[in-house]
Amino acid sequence: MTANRVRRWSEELARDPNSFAFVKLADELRRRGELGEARAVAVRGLERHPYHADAHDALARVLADEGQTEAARDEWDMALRIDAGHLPSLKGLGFLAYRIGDLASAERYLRQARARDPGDEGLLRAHERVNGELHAQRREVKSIDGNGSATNGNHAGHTGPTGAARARELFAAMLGDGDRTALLLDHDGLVLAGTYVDERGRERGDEIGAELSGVSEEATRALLHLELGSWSAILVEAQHATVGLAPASDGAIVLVAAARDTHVGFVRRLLSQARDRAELWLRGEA
Amino acid sequence: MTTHAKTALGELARVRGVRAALMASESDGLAAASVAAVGVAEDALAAFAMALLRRARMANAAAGYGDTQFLALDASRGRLYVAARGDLGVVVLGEPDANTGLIRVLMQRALGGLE
Repeated sequence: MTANRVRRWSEELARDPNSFAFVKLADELRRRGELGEARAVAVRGLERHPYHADAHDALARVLADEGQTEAARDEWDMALRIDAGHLPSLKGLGFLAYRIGDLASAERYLRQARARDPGDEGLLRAHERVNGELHAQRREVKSIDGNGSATNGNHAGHTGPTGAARARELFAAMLGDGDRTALLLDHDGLVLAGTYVDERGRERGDEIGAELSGVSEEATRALLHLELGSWSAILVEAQHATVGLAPASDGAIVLVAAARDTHVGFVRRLLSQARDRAELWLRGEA
Repeated sequence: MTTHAKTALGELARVRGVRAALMASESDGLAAASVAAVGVAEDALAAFAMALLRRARMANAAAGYGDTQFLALDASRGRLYVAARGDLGVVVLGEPDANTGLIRVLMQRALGGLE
């Protein structure tokens, strides 16, 4: 159980404040959604181990979950200055670049990461997907050049949907116009696709993802212990919404939410459609 | 354990396909009362169910969806249900084909009677 791990690593740190247990402790707290605690643990660890790449990575993950993209990038950059091939930092920077639609940088980081760990299938798929989107984007730019419809050679933002924009719109067609939303979160709770905007127009996907970080892994472990097999769906009824969660490849989670007056059966159906669509997208086919 | 809680858990346990029914607090994840078939790991069930409830509550709070009232988890060899009010949760472990509608009503009734 995560509580036991947190206790064990906390005790280890109490016994030996120079221990590297803070890296695991910070990441576990982050996965549990305790971002303030996670950040405090990572910062304290960094004060003792400022030249430890994993320490910078631990803090970067927390900052990324908090939506502090620039600060997270700084930490991962620092980790790479300490260890040029630091795999988690290459992945982290690749993910950040992808999120802001910088496909060329994302592809470069993921290519470097793959060179460090060729056997990581999740990484392979992510790289292939980004590579595919990058090529598609370049084809679109070329096509516009050929048609002479772009002016002054400046295509930025005018070449049709970028990979990141397409990711945001992944579920739009199936959700319709109702008060519904869908997200695809990776195993760390980072938003891969879809969007959630609250009534004030603020994007909240990252915060929701942070709260759900690691939940699939936890559920899988607990269900194994309870001999219940693998999980296929979780439906949650809250005051104002019904939320559905389903597991996807590589520890990812699909989330759909609909207004509370939506029939639960319909939410289940949306969840099933969203999961199918997410799987296609993860395989680079959507 | 109150008489109402005993009765409510007993009613839940009699529903076809229910393997365990228990009450637990979210804050410590410990079961306060339970009725379970032999072989069900009640402590682990309570701990996991309350941890899952806590996650759901935090995510729903982040999304602005308000308090979490009920959740159901489908697994290949069973279903887990949690109904919550305040710090208290009623947890039911059922077979994959358990009657979700009836279980949900009885769980809400169990919580209602504790007020």
